[in-house]
Amino acid sequence: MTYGPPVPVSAAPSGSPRPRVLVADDDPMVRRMLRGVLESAEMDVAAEAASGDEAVALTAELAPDLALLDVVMPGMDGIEAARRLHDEAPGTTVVLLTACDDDELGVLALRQGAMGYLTKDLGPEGLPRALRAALAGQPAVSRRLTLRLVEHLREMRPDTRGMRPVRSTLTAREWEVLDLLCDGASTEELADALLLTTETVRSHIKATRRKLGVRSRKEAVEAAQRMRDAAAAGEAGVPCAA
Amino acid sequence: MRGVTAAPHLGALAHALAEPVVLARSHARLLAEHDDRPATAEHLRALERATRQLEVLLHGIARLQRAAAAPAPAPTDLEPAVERAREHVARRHDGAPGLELRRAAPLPAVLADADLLVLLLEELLDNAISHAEFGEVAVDVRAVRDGGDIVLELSDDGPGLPGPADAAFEPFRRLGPRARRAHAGVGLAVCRAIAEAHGAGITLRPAAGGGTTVAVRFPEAP
Repeated sequence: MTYGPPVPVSAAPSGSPRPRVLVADDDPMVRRMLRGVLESAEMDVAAEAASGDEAVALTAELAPDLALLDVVMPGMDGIEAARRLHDEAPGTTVVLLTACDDDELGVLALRQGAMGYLTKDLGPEGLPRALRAALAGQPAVSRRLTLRLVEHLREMRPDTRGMRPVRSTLTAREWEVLDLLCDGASTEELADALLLTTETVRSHIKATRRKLGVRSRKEAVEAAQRMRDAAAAGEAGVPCAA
Repeated sequence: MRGVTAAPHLGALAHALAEPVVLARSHARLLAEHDDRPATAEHLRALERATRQLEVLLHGIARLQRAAAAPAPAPTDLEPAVERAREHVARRHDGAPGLELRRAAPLPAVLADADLLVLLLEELLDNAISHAEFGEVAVDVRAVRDGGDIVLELSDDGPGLPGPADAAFEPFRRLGPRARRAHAGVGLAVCRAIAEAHGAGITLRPAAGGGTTVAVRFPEAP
């Protein structure tokens, strides 16, 4: 598998500190191997975790630059941990490691906030290079997964409806409500479309208004448009089409 | 079932099988956020439980496989190993494992693979916790010199062995009324595999005060 674009392996620019990495894998032998690979590439292993729960706790405690998570871990898995870290530790870049290189899992990992999705057979040179790329803000994904992401984008509707800012206090359900409000749906139409009672729809609208800090449905629609414009302009936004 | 530890590809296979399980559970979780109807929520919880159970078994196979890895023995201090195991176990139980760990005297060093030793201690502590009767267990840790060996002993004040000691080492045979579906029932089998990979013996016997004593015989570090 090829990863691009290439980023110099020549480690940190002179003077800048070595990146601190948290390694999470339930297999101590894999952690040992990863520690060896990272340390010989001038990266520090700030901590090792054996589960997603440990990874989240240690990241909160140590604030590493990057968290390298195995997808499969007992208790909290890597995907859930990626999501938690994305919400709770915005300063830590999250990269998932996979044994199977499943595109579906890759798309999901990125949607949940990971900056990379790498296979375990990447090798002692490829892995640090990909992690440095992720730390520099370049998604560390295979060319094949990039193609999958492009396909996802093409499947999306041409307008920005369906774009959700990554960091949003609204729940997925509240976004659905907001999408329909943007289409001009009434409370009854919303209830029909979402298979909810009008009472529930009203409470979702109320919660959405409260979170957006607006007083009316019209203002909520305007606020949604502003957020989507920002997302479309290149701020953190992801397609919600699965 | 001892054959599980002897099949080198099983661990990798279990890991590979666990990835689509993670995918299924993640989608169930996402779906739960989109659809909050009570019936859907109930089905999704059932799906979540089923994937968890499948995962617990797959992790069980992977743990057994890992335990059989070739160790790299070196002089290893027992004190920090016990402490690391305690920390890992505490973190797994959200910092409140209901475990009191007691050491009457400082522990010596043994000839063992540091990572596998911690793994063995974790399994032993987890096993004591999972069989605790009232959510609290006290474990006494001590090391006894015997000839050129160090015998590491952990005694708990739990309910004691429900059946023959040999059966407790068999994987996927959950013993005792406290055994829960959250456990694959491989803990002691993992311990035995790690001990045997070190050429160490592991035995179980009733503890003086009720519970169980597990003893692992290691060569002493030079």
